[in-house]
Amino acid sequence: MTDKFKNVSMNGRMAYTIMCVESYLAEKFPNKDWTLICKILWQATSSNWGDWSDIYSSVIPDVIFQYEEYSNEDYEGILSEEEFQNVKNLFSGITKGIENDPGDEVNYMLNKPFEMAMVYEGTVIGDGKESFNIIENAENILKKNGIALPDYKKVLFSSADEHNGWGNDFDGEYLSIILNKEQK
Amino acid sequence: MSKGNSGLFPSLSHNTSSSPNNNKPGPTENKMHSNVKNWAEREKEKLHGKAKKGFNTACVVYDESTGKHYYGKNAGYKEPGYVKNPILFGDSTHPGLLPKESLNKYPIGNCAEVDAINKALNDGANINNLHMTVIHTTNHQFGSYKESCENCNYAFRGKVKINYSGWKEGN
Repeated sequence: MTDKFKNVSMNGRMAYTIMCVESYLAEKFPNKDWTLICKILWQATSSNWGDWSDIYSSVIPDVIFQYEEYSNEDYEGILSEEEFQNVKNLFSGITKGIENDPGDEVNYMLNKPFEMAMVYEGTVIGDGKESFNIIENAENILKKNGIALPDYKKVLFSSADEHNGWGNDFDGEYLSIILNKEQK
Repeated sequence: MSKGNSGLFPSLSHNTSSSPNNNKPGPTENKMHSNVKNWAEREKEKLHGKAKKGFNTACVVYDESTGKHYYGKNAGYKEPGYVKNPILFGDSTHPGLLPKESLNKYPIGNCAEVDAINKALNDGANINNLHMTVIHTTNHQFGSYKESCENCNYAFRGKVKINYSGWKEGN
């Protein structure tokens, strides 16, 4: 595990984590429309993670389920009221929004990119072992469900030599199997 | 120590602080740690939803010239009414202590250290008099020391008096 991503930037590790999430969603819930969630996810590779994590957390089940009604304060500029309701409906019946519970797989997987953005916020990457753990946890869910792992070689281009280990920004949408269905 | 009347003891004129209070000794490392931990626990209780999810760092700085404490959290700069101190953020004619471009994946000013130090400077503190402690506030690491990031190393290393949480290695 450590060797595969040792020379990959944090941005590349984020991209791979998102690829894991997409593989899970596409395989387990192929009839649901994950476009909005994935559009937000892939903003991560070209945005600062201070702002992106605030936007993305809005659509994680354990967060959005805390809001019975649309909150202008927390959702204006991120989701319309209609989108807010659509996301809640999307998750209805497939997750209870229980934090840190591998048994609640949908919420657990959707938290992985958020965790990747948080793990070294305000500190340094160091040996990166915490980020490798996040990836490993995502991969374990895929393995448990018999889902093929994404091709990690697709993120090797994003080198840990770039930008103090964080990697340069790039538009990661081309890596999406949900937003680019023909590449699946 | 600084009685100049007899001529036997030179007056203490090389004080690094401009304070008239002859710099109080700071709280112990443990006291700083418990102060920020207690503050963070109270803060976390006030938060819900996205704000609670996103709260991951707390910082306390102590001004040894006044004995005051200032507390900050990550993304504190987004709070309504936040005033950016030009010593940190610069102004139209002078650069600030913070780097012009972020050295990592987070926006300039995002850190808990910046929030706390910004408050101290806005209150008239001298950065050279500040003692600092930074901790994680996530559930699984709550209270653990958090080493400063690239941006804070650039801005504050060699400027704040003490950082109990540590600086980036090799920087």
